[in-house]
Amino acid sequence: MGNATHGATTVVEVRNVSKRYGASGRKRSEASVTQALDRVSFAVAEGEFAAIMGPSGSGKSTLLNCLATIDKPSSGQIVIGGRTVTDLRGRQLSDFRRDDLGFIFQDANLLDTLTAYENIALALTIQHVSAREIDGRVREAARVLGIEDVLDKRPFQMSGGQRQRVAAARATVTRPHLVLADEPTGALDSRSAAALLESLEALNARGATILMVTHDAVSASYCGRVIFIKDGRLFGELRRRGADRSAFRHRIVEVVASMSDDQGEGERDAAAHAAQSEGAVPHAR
Amino acid sequence: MLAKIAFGNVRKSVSDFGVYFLTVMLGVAVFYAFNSMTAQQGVLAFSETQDRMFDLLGMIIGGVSAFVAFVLVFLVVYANRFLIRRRKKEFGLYLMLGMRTGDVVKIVALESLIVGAASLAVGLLVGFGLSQLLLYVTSALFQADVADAAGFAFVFSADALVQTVAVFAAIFVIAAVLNARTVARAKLIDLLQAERASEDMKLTNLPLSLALFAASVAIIGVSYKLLIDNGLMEPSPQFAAATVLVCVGTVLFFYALSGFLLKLVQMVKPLYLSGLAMFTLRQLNSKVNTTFASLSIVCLVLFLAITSVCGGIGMRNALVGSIEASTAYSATVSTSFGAYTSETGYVPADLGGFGEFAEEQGWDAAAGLRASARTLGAGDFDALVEGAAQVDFLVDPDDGLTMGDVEEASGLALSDFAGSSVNDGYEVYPVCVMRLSQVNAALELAGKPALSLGEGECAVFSDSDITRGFYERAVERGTTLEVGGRSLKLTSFHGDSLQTTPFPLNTGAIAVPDDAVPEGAAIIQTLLNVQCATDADEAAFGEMVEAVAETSEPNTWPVTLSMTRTEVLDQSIGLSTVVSYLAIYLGFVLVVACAAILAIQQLSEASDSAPRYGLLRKLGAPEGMISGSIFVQVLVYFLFPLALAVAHSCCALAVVTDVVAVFGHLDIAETALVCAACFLAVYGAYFAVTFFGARKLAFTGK
Repeated sequence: MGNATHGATTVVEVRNVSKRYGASGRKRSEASVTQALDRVSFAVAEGEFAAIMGPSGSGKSTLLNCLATIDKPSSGQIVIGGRTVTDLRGRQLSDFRRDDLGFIFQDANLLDTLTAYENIALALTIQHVSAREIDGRVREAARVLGIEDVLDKRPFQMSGGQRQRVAAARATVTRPHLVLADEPTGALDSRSAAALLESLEALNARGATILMVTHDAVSASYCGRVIFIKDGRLFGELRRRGADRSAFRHRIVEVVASMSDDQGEGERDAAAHAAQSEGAVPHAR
Repeated sequence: MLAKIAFGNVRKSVSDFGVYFLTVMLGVAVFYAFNSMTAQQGVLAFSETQDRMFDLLGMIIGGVSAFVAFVLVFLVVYANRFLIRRRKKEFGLYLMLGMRTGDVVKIVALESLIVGAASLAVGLLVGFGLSQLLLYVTSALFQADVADAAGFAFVFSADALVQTVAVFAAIFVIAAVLNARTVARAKLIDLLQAERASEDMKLTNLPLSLALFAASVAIIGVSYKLLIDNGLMEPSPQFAAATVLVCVGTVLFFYALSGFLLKLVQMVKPLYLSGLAMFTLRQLNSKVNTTFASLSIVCLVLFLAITSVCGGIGMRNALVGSIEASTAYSATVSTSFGAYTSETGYVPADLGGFGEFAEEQGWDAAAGLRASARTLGAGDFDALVEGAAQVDFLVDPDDGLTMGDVEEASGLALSDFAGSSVNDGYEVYPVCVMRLSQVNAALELAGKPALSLGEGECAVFSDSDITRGFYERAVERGTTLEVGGRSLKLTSFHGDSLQTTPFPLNTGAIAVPDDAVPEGAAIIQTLLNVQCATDADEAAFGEMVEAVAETSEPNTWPVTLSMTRTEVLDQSIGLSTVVSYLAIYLGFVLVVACAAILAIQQLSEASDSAPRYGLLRKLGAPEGMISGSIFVQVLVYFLFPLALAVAHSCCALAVVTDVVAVFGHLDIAETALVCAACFLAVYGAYFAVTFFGARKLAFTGK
């Protein structure tokens, strides 16, 4: 498995990132301010397959949006592929998203009017890659993800798993610095989920750096590292270090459980409930 | 409170209301401007004939306006439905928050009222300007000056204003009622989930589209050929076939167009795989099932509008240009003395004392009029008239020449040439003969060369298009006619009008050597053509003849009809101007209707596609690239119906030119170009509103 190798270049560096909502003016009372992220820092090395885990309301979606340049942190810096994305504006932002990021959404988010082939090719055509090169790269990505036979089909003719793998192909075909996956298995049955995660492993083995947000311990167990986040703060991280997947999963579940235990003693009961109910998901599988 | 919400909504979604506003505004402006035209009578110095023509124009525009109002009702309701559909979720939210259905209905009605009142006000202002413009157009067309000494007058019609406001108030009420019904009937769950109603995805067979597109082009080509080969002269089966084929071809064209474009571009890989080309084409192709019908209708209606406007204006120009040919004389006085058909024989008209007087004068119209005018003290014939020439239309009372006889002699059938434009049973009507000496005198008076006929020869005169082809062919065949027992060979055809007349009146009369006129021939009609030295003399002559025509004094010449050159010009120009105004009015409304339909359709599509544009943005497609894709989509929808309609129109106008050639050279010049520019400006305005509206919808979507 192509997991993190020590000494590799850093692709993502999150430095002291905070995000406050409702804090635009100083006159607002402290109570009306929501601290979604609180001085979060971590780094992802090139070729890593990492997961960010946390219960609902933990701030993981806010973190993902900041990484995806859809949202801006209130303070702190995010550096991706050597560029400080928190300083980018307008045209630079869309160029950055186009050239340096790949997205996999929860619901594949393919264009329903286009075939699988065209959906994958679209990521390249908006980069103005030459037509000759596009064909080779699309077919190569399809081969890696095992979706060659659906290339001429439209999304409504495919299964959910196939759609998600087409989305994965679209996200990686541009060879971005970083692939962001937002609950990619959320809408899939367990078999399709496993197939997709294996595909992501395969892509990672070929050099793609993948950062996946999930609340599912099974999904997270495919990764080389899991970063836990709770109440907008880093809770800790687990490294797989060549461990067996089911053993790794047990360790993840333990951490998740400890997160919710800790929450039970805290002040925010509502968040605890959310964490507990979500923590139960891995057991259900 | 409700008013505040309504005001806020209108302010927030100005661009959503853009198409609605533009449509109502243009509708109001045109409706007012054309309905106020009769008010020009108060401002322009019209002649009496022009006044009558304008009364007629007013009446016809009144009738046409009913149709226009109907079109506008449809448009306003259609535009409203788009607005409501877009905002179902918002209405759902109001209801969720506990607002009563009645209140939501009131908000919608208030919004319509605000936008309606604003567009009505602006539309009326534009309408005032437009009617002022029309005033100058009329003034130029009719050569009638503004009566006011200063040469400027503001034309305003309170009637038209009231009418416009009333019609549009009614339209708004209808629209508001329909909106209210939509909102009141909708279920809350449907309103809230309006977005989720996904259209069914259909697969289109691309090679089939290619074949269908080729077929559509072929069908349209065949219909063009049929039309050009057979013309419009007669409603033949070929003409019907061409009409059906052009409709079928057009529908097929739009059904296959997007598939064809897709397949075409797919074959050029570097083009297909660049930027958003494939997205744009797939986008167009995905809507084909919902749009091909409306695109076809828009195309055909545009075709109708372009053809009627260009044809109408061209016809007017042709009429005005060729009227010279039928106004060779200062005036023509005609008198009918009887009628003839092969069934009834010669039936003299009951002219009483007038008839006896005419007989006393030896059927000499000039002498008769001279004496009558003197008797009545109506004027001095000789002082007013420089020259006169009389032409008698004669028939053998025992065995007159009829149309049926000519058909038999030539072996031709008139109906083959004139189609349905001749009345049934025309065979029994007479073909009159004229003395060559009289014809030559009339030709000489018009400054034309004289005609010479040899022994046993005759010539045919007809200024009517209905019989022209028939007689020309009969001359070619060397037809021999039996006139009063003598055989005369038709040697030439002449299209000259032997009188001053607004319409062709002579469908065929045979000029024969004087000695060939049958013994005891009866006069069916006498024409007296005169030339006057000045326009004043001409007018005085007209009045003098009118006095003779109206008197009950039996010792005067019977006058059936008299026409002076000025009267003919006024009437013809007036009538054709009425026609062109109507064509412009209708054409304009139809263009607005087409553009509005296209605009609304495109905007609702952009609204449906908003999530797709949102995804493109997430994938990093720059705004310019997405704008470009929207531009191309809107352009295809606006350009292709117009382009095909123009192609249809060119073909139709080529044929219409043949028809109009009867009146003179079809000149689709300046006026038509100005109209085309106006129409294009309106069309362009809709295009711009649509493009910017669609772009906004795409960029605000998530």
